[in-house]
Amino acid sequence: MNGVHDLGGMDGFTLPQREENEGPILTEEWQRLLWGLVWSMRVPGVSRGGRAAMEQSIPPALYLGMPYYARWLHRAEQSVLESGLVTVAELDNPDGPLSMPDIPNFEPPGPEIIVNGFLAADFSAEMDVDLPSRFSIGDAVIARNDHPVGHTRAPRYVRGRRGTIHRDHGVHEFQDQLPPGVEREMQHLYSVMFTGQELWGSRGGSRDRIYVDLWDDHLESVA
Amino acid sequence: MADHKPVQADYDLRTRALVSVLTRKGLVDPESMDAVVEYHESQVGPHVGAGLVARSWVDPDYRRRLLADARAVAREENLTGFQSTDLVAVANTPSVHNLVVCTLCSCYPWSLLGLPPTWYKDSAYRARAVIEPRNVLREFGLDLDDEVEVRVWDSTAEVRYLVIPQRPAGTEGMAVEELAALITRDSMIGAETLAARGQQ
Repeated sequence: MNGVHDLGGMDGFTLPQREENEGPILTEEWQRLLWGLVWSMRVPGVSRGGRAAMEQSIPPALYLGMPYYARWLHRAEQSVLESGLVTVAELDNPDGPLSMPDIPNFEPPGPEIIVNGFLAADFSAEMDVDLPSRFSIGDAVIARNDHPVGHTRAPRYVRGRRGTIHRDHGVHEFQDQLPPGVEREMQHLYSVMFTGQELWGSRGGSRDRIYVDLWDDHLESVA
Repeated sequence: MADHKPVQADYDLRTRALVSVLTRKGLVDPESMDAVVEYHESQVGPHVGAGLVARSWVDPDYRRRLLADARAVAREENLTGFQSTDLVAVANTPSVHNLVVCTLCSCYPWSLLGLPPTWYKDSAYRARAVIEPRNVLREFGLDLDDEVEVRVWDSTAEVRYLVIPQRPAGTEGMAVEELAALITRDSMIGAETLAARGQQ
């Protein structure tokens, strides 16, 4: 979707100061609680509220005004509400009566499972699948000019623009939102190089190169 | 449900309500919550990435392997992790400067650099890094020569990028541990370069 989260190339923002390197990132207690919650809750049927769900459910004007961790809070609330395991009434009165969930054989994972079995685990998104690539390094390509209503990883600023295949990252699961019932496809993922001038016209730096990771389905070959 | 108070200002109250309800329902282990924060604040952090970079400065073969297949190197050293395993390293040189961004959200190599700094997650950085990287760098305090090529890496997939900054002058003969201590988080994102040592 052409969502507000797709920020590349937008003008009018003021850069914040670069903060000191060693300062804590989670500066407030609620941020620490929230961060711990988001990554330690692993309940069957509850999505972590992926980027798609999160970004598409926040209206643009609100999104830009929300602090970063407030977006995570929104996402965490939405994911548990959508799962049906928690109700709005319960969140409004957290010390009040609760309906207890009935999830067979469920125990919340402990620290060892969460840290070593999840956060520090060897999760690669590259699939061990032998699939021919549609493009080779050095090929000229055009990022498909498509504006799907669902989540897409092809940012607006590359659509319709001509680039060059710089690197083949191997086979990855296609992350764009697919129609219900359609299975996720495996496709090659590439680093595609675009020149600054191709993307931004006369404003693009003549020695700027922008590299974007795009899947086979985002790309067309140049005749 | 979709309109459940999306921007109620009291983040603290809302977070505590969520944690309380989920804990009382037995859906989350509070000890695991603490462990997550401890992991991201202490176990991982820029010191991890700095170890890789420092070694790449003193060991040409290691540098070659890191640039060719950083994921294999990270795996050998047990530096894998959620949001970092598919690692690509890019090296700054006198003629090339690399800068990493995530225009769609805030993707970042957590296992190597810890949690991303506030500026990296800010809308301004995400919006501007791809269209005017030199202005962004200048505002960050780095005025690049016009001849230097700027390569901006937009992390739109699961691949994560680590910048290998140039080794500062005046560090000849330093041990890997000493070198690692000089390497800043922001230099491994490309937001700054490392100052020469001992010349001032």
